[in-house]
Amino acid sequence: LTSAGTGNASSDLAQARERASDSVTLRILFMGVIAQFAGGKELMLDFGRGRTLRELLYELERRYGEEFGARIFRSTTPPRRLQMGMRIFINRKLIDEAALEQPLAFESESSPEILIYFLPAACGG
Amino acid sequence: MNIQQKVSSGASGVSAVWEDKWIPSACTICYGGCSIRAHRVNGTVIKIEGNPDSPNGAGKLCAKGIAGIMILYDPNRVSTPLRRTNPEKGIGIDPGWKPIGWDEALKETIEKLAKARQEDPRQLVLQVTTTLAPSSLSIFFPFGWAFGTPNMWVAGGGVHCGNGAHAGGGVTHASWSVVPDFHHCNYAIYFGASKGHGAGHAATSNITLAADARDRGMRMVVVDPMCNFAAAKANEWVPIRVGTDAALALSMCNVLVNELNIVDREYLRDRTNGIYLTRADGKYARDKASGEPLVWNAKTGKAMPYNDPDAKDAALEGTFTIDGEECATGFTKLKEHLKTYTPEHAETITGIPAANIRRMAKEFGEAARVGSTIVIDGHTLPYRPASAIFFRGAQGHKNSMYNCFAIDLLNHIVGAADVVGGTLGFNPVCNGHPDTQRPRYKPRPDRDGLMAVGTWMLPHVPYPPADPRKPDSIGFTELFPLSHVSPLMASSDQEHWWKQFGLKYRPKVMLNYGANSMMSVGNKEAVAESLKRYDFIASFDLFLNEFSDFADIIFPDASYLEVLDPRPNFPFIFNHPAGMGEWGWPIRQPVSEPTGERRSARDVLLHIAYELGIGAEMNLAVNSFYGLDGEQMLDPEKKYDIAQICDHELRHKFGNERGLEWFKEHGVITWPKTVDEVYWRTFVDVRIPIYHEYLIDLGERTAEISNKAGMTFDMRYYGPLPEWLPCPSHEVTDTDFDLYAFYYRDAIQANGFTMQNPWIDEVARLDPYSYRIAINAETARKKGLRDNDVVWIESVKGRRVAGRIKATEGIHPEAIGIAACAGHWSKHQPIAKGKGIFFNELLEIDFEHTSPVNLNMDLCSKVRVYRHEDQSESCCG
Repeated sequence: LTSAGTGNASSDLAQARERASDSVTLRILFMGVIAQFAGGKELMLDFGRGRTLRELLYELERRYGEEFGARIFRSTTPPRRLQMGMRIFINRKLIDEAALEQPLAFESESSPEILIYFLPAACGG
Repeated sequence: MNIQQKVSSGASGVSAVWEDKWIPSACTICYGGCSIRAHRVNGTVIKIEGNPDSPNGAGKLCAKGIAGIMILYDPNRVSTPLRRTNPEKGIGIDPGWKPIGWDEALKETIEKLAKARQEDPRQLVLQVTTTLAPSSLSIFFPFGWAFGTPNMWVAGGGVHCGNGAHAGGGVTHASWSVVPDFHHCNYAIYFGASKGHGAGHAATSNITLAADARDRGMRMVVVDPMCNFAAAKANEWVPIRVGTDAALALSMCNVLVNELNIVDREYLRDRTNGIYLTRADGKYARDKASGEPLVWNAKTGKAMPYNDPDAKDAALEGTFTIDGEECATGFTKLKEHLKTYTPEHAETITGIPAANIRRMAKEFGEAARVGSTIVIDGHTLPYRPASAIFFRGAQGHKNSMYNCFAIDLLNHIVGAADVVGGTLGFNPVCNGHPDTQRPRYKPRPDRDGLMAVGTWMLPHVPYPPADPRKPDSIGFTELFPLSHVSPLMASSDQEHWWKQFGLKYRPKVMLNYGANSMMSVGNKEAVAESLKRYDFIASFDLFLNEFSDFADIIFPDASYLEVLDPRPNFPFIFNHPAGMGEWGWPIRQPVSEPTGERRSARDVLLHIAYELGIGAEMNLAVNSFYGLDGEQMLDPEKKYDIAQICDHELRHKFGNERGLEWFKEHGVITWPKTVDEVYWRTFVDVRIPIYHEYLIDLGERTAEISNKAGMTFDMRYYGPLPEWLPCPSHEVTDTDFDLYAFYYRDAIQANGFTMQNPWIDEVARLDPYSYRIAINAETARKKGLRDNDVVWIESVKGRRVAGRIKATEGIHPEAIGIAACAGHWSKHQPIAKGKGIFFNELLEIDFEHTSPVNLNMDLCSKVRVYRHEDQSESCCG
């Protein structure tokens, strides 16, 4: 653990535990119309360390169903690219398709959680 | 910026001139967004002219741009927020406007929006115009995304604009539109497009480029029902029956391929999917392991994936046996398909003599100089100085997709696509400014090796299309993923289809930005009924107009001369001049502060977003729209104003030393284009489809969903090879209705909001066509009509408009040409009121008149013409 710590012993301990565990904490915010298909605006989720964004999307699709999946993915069959207009920000940075296969990572060593925003940029008219 | 402080003292000792400035900015009378500089003296703008420092217009400006000053100071503009007092809404019903304060107007609007968002955010419809620049939408679209509605509608012109042309341009040129390479083209054939003749993208840049090309000797052939702006300057005008462009183009392709054998085989083999093997069902034969399309290696006698290193020897023509099934190459099927379009057959459809079709094809093919090369900046490049372009006209029909693909096929057969002298997409590749490498984009190979755009105007790209799905939006664009803008947003059958598809909500609140959908879509009765569905409409407007009659709150908007915008010419695929030269990134900045109580709509919308509690969503959406990252990202937790967002955008693209203040002073940044950006086809390893295999699957999936809801359509629209398919107007059997009415973009009014402009009106009144109905002189004579007679134009549905005729030899004998969009009836625009003809009244707005592949609206109408009962001077101007 290389974190400089927060100066707060209990907080540092919590972070150390977090780092040492097999999972990471995701704070997921569903913005715009996608919140309707996720049943709410926010989800806190413990997710396996080293797992990819694609794996997370599959997990969310499993939780929320086909309607949600149809708004995340462009198709139901491989290669299952991101739906046009689906914007995903990880730690507030807009990601591209390449990030689908990359492990979810903290913004910095001191970050308590990985922050993920879903924002559908649809133009349906 | 050239700032002079002139102080002259008269006898009284009082300064006569305390300010004398030239301020660089950008025009927005139309979406061309040409760079301007405004001369301001003592706080008053006294002149607008082109900015010679910018490649966007290069110092030239059209009549509309020069006349923009009359919009700034028009006393008829809305100057205070207004609230409706009459609850009844309808055509011609006075809303009873009452001036209110901004606080009151905003409070009421925010309450309505908050309620809708709580109930179902999809209840909100954002209606915007394209008669302003797309950059003007830079807060509106993010607002919609942040709010959570998919219902954003480009109603002002956009619904007529380019569902086919833009998708076609995107699939095969990675660009919003196409234009001849004016610097090198020797033979340009225009199918209704008027690029370089007053209208369209990069309007004034193209005027100069086209004029120089004509002066250099470029031969120009214009296929158009009417000999107007482009045709009048052409070497040859080819009058064509309205809506039959695809038949002509396919016949010319047939002559090139099957009669003259003028084909760029190397281009077709290396840059298209013409070598892909296709099965009897029309779909690709695919490699069992990788799923990739197969090609046939003629040397080894084996099939292999298209991207195998040995596939460079792939056969362009032939039929081969794969696993016991006969598979032909895409080009082989195309070649066979084209045989049905003999010049003699095309003559029966288009009215153009077969001999002329053969001659034009021969001229075009020979001009392309297949096999030749040219050296530019040390690069040896294909040289194909022939170009076929398309836009409004050919694209404005139910079959717009195929019309555009068919015309563009001419370019691909001779290899004249994004190479020297050929047809260029508008800047599909940009390596970015040398200091920052921003903006940077280029096409890339996607599924099956075919080209996906490097950047696009909207979130959904034309290729590869998304899987169709049951629609969330009231316009059904998810069901028709090749569409951009949907007429179902205001159609007469919208409620029927919403019920059929089980749409779980209805639109209740609308925010409108500058669009006058009562006039810009189709017949006013259908649009009026659609507007009556809304509980609440708030509208940002310069003037009260026909749409305003349905609004509840009016916000007085600042004009384009009073606002900030960091990117009036971006994306470059939209309206930056193509070809070699310079990149230019200007800004739009106020040349005059808003007067009265007017405010910039974007400032107001940003305020509304923060007040609604969707600031985090809004900031992320703005980041997404502008592509902001790193230190220039907006923080979701903070609040910004438009000036701050502009600063972030400019620093992001051009470095910290070039923020908003730098641009306010300099107006524009320029840097040279490179050969690999302009003639990118040689440098980017992508293929384009000449065989649209993906349409087969798309059609099947779309039909599977739509048929369950009772929506059926002709599956020929989803075939892999372009066809000419008739518009509803071609299928009218009542012989009383013997003419095809269409509209054209008057060069002095095109794409703008100029009908209320007194300078433009003065010019239009001197033009014999602007406010009258063009009819062939012989046709008029046969009907007993004389020049200047007042007539009724009546559609088969009984809709009619009146106007005075202008008999001319310059229009097809079966056509009626009307300059659009005219015929205002609002008392709030006294210059515009009663001038010209409201063509759109003749148009049906329903699924029957809409393309089932890209939702393009059919813009021609079969009509009959007869004398009006009132021939007095007071009738119809």
